Amino acid sequence: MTEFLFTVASVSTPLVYAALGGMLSERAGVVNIALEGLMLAGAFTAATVAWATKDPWLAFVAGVLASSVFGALHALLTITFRAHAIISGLAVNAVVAGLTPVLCKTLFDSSTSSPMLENAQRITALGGRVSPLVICAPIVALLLYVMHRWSRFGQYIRFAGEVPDALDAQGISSQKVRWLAVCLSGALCGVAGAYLSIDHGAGFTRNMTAGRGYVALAAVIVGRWTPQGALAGALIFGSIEACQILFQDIPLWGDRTLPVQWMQSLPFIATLLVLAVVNRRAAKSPGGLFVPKALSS
Amino acid sequence: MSSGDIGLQNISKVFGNVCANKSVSFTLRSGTIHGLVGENGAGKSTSMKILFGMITPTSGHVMIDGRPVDNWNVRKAAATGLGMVQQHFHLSDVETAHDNIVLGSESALLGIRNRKAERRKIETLMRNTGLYVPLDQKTGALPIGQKSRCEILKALYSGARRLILDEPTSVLTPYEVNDFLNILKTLRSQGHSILIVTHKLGEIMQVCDEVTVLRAGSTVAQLQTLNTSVDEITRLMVGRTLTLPTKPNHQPNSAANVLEIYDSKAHRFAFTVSSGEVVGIAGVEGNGQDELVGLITRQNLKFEHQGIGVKLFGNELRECDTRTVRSRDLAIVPADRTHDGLVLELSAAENLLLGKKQCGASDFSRIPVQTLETSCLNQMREFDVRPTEPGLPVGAFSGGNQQKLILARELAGITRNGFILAAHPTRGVDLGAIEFIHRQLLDRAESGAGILLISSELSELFALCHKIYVLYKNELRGPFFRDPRNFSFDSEVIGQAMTGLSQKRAQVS
Repeated sequence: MTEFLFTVASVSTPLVYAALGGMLSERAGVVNIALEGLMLAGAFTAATVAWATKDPWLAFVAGVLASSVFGALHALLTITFRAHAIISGLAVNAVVAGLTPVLCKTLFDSSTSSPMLENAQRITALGGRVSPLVICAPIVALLLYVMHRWSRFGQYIRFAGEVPDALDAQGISSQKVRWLAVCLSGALCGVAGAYLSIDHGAGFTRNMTAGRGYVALAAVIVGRWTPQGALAGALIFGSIEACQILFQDIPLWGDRTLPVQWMQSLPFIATLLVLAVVNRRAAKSPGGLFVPKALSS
Repeated sequence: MSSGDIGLQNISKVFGNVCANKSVSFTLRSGTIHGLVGENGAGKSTSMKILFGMITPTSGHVMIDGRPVDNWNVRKAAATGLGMVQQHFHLSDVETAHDNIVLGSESALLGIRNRKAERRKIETLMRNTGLYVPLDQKTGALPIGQKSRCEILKALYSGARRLILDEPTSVLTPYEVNDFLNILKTLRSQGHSILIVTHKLGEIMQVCDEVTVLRAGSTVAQLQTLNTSVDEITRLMVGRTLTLPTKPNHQPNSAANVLEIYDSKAHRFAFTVSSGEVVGIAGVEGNGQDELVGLITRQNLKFEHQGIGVKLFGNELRECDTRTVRSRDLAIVPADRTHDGLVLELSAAENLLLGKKQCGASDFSRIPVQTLETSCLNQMREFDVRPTEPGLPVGAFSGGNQQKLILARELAGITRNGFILAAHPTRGVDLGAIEFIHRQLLDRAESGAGILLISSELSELFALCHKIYVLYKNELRGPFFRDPRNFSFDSEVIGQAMTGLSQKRAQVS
């Protein structure tokens, strides 16, 4: 059981950070399918800096910054230049997915992965078991919850996604609020990415986020665009992923096991099912379940 | 101009090659209610936005306390205690009234809000003004009257002593309007100054101390309300004397049913429109008007699923689709003309194709541009559409002219005994165009057409209808008839029905 909980915690952590980031951006009114690319940018930068400087915390900060920069790119395209957010998100994802192997090749002479990082180059787990980033995940969720409910900035974000004109009429630039939210979203994806490459994993491998950004986005939707919902959604999908990992070679009938590919596709099938159920409920109770106005139109 | 007064002096504003304001001047005196009136395009909203600092004028001055100010902007306006309530509410439906009211002026220490302090401040404000709203409810669940109270509280909460209200009563029921005007009087008695931008002259006469009339971008007069009349203001606004019809001068032929709505389940939602009759549907928007129109045009079958059916000229419409219905002797003036009535990017002539097969074009033949343009030109002349340019994209015409185009197209497609379904036919339309549209509708009725007129303007229904029903929460109330003594409707009874205050529909014989 403890084994299961540890696995859930460690696979949920990147989903939690990315989902919280996605929640922030979408609540401010900017659709963010770039979560995937933002995470990947963070993962690559963190691994590279860790390899170059051997300082994991410096690498962590670099990863967060890199993702924020790509977040800012998404903000620039969607908010300042009014590009369609899905197109811009796809562009960011494509740029990062294309750029990382190229940089890998120039830096490490391998288009698929960075060199394995030594333990000294990675974030050290507390007590040899639990990473500080895992412990921080629920704390960050709590902080965002407080921000969302009780802070002035949280109020601005909530209004930016619903009635941006109301903010502008009060002399508060809704564009700035959105910019900040999308950049913060990038920073949180950077944490998730750094966790993947220099904490949970030991180095960067090509496309190592493997769709986690989209799963995080699903968690945001399941969680109805609230911090607590995003946390819960990420934990649900994290648990399914943990099952997949732990029960991969458990014999089902006789001594035969389910093919590993089947098990690996489980999280994605589950995501589809959960989304279908949630959206059915949404369709049944108009107005009952919340979708930010800027996204629903 | 004395201390506390604000205003505009000789303001002009040019957008590209369009001159929105030529010479606008007015003074909002401290502690008074001032009406700013004018037709569409007279420059009301531009002037208002200049006063609030949202637009910089091309020339002229914003005057504060009798002195011209430089570099006027929204922040400076807010700092001098100016607050604006826009026509379309800027409220988040999913947040509480409390959060909406304090937006932008939250009490916060290091970014963390002190809701209790905010609440105390709002409650003091509510006590002082008599504007009460349930603070913990989400504004989406509040009735419109309460929403407009929220907006005013929001302006007052941010410290406004001078309010600019843009068409504040356009979405309120008559009952709510009275309530709202009383609030304005209370605010005035507490020393607030209020500028109301509106086209409802009755309200101006009721609450305003002064009124400024704009026409074609210039101030034509600033008058004391006591020394003027609705007729004088109307003449100044339009530039000529209007003769709006006040009632139909003919009797319908009750033997010939044009439209029959029946309710096979509950027998409550039923009425008929006979030949020559104008039947009005009053009610605040969103109470079933769209569903009623959709029932007849077969685009919204919500009412049909509730057992309500339609017979047009005695023929059941149940099996019909929209296309079949459109091929009948029926004219439709849709509620949202730019969405359901016209394709804005296409020319006026091409928009004729949205009507009947009047122009000889079948589905797969080449579009006979020449024929279209000729018939369009004729219709434009007949309906006084300006400019008389069949090739101009419809989006380039003003709202009133767009509406005349729709009317021209639709009325050309029916016979004298046809059926006209008109939803909000004069919404956002100038008084001159209203006069024209009302005359056209009454002429058609007189010559035998049956008209179902859906409107949220009671004055429009009172001027045209033989009988009026009220829609309230998808239920029909009425009919209400004219008083045989003075030929007028009882606006109080109808107003109450619109707010749901009256009894449910009495059994009709």
